[in-house]
Amino acid sequence: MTLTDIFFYIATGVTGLFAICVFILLICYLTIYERVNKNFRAVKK
Amino acid sequence: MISQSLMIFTLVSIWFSMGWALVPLFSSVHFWLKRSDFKVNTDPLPYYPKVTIVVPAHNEDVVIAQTATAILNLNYPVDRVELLLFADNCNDNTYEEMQKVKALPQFAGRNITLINRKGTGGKAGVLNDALKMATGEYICVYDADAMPEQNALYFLIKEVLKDPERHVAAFGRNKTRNATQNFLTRCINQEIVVTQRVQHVGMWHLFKIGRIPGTNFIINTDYVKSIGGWRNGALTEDTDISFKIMESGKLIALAYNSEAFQQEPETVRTYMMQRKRWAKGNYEVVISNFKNLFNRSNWRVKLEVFYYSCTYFWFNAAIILSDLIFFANIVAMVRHLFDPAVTLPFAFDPSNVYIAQLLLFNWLVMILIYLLQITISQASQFGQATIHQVGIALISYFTYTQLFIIISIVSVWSVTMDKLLRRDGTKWVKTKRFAG
Repeated sequence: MTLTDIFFYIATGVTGLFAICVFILLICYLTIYERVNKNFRAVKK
Repeated sequence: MISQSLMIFTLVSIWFSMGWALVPLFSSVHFWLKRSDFKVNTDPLPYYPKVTIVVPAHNEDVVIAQTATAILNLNYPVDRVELLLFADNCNDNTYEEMQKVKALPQFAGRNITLINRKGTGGKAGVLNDALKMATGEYICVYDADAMPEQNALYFLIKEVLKDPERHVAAFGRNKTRNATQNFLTRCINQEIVVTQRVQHVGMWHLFKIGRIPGTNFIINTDYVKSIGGWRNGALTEDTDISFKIMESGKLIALAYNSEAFQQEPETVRTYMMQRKRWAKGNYEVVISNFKNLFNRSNWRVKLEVFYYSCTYFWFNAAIILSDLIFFANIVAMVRHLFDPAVTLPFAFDPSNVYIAQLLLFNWLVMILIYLLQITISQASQFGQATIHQVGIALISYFTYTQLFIIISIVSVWSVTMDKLLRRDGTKWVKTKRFAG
C-alpha cells in the first residue's frame, strides 16, 4: 500500500466527518434562522 | 516522497485548524439554539455600581463628539457615571470637540472630566492614568470611534453582578458602523460578526473563556490595580490584560446583548496597518506567554496560548506552504505547454485515480462549513442572514481572507526584524477614521 493510498483512506474519513458536520450545521442554521425571525424582538426600551 | 509528505502535512494541518474551528462553532450553535426564542428584558438591576467610563482619543476630532454624546445618553443612572475623556497627544481639534459636548445644555451637571494629555505609553498609558483618577467601582472603556447602544453598559454590569467575585470583567460586542460603505467594510463586518457571534460566544459557552476586545468592556477598578494596571506600550493591551485575568483564575464574562457601533477601516492600506499592529501585538503576547504551556499556569491560559500558537505559527505556515505548492504546480503546468517533459512537482501517486476528486470534494465541504459559519452568525440576529451576504462571503473567501496570508508574513518578518535589530516595535500606529 502506497503513501497515497493510506492518505486516501484518512482523507475519506475526514471528508465524511466534515460532510456530516455540514448536514448538522445546515439543520441548526435553519432552526436558528426560523426561531430568530419568528420570536426575536429587539431590546425592550 | 518528500513532495507527497509536504502536501499531506499541509492538508492535515488545515484539517486540524478546521477541526478546531468547529469546536466554538458547535458550542455557539448550542448557545444560540437555547437563546434565540425569548425576549430580552431590561428590568432594573438590584444595585448600580458607580462606573468610570474612559475614552482614550488620539486625533479623533472626526468621531469623538458622536461617541461622547452616545456615552452620555446611556441607559444608566447619571449619578453613577463618571466620564473621563482623554485627548492624548492630539494635534487636531479633539479636545475642542470634547469641550463642545461638555458645554451642551442637556449634559449640564454631568460628571465629565476632560484631560489634554501629553504623556507616553499610547492607549495603555491613557488607561493607567485613568486608573489613578477613577472613582468608580468599575472602569468601562470605549474607543473614540465606538458608539455604545443605549443599554450597552447596563448589560455589562448585569453580567458582572451575576458573580462579582469571579466575573472581574465583562465584554460586549462591537458592530460595524460603516458596514455598507464598500466591499472591504462589508467583509470586515462579516468577519467581526463571526468573531463575536461564533468564536466569542462559543469559547465563553464551552470554556468560560473571554477576551477583552479593547472597547465596550468593563473591569473592576480594584482588580486592575491589584495586577499592576495595563502594560505601557503594549500593542494589544487588551490581549495582554486578558491573559493576566485568566492567569489569576478570574473570568471575563460575555455580555452578548451589550453592543457598541465601531468604525472599521475603509481602505486596504488603513486595514493592513491596523491588522499588522494587531498581529504583531498578538505575536508579542504569544511569545511572552509561550512558557505557560509548560508550567503550572491556569488551564484557560494554556488553552489560549495553545490556540494562538497553533493559529499564528502552525496553521499560518501550513496555509503559506499550501499556497506555494499550488503556485509551483501552476508554473509547472504553464511550462508543460511549451516543454512536455516538465511534470507537476507536487502530485499524488497516479495509480489512485480517485484522490483528486476526493480532495476537491473535501475542499468544497470546507467552503460550505466556512459559509455556514458566517450564515449561522448572521442568523443569530434578525434580518442579517440574506442571499446577498452569502455572495459577499463567497467572494471574500477568494479575496479578503487571502489578505491574512500577506498580513501574517509581513508581521512575522517585522517581529523578527524588531528582535534582531532591537527596534522599538511597540510604536503605536493609529487606525485612520472616516467622517460620516
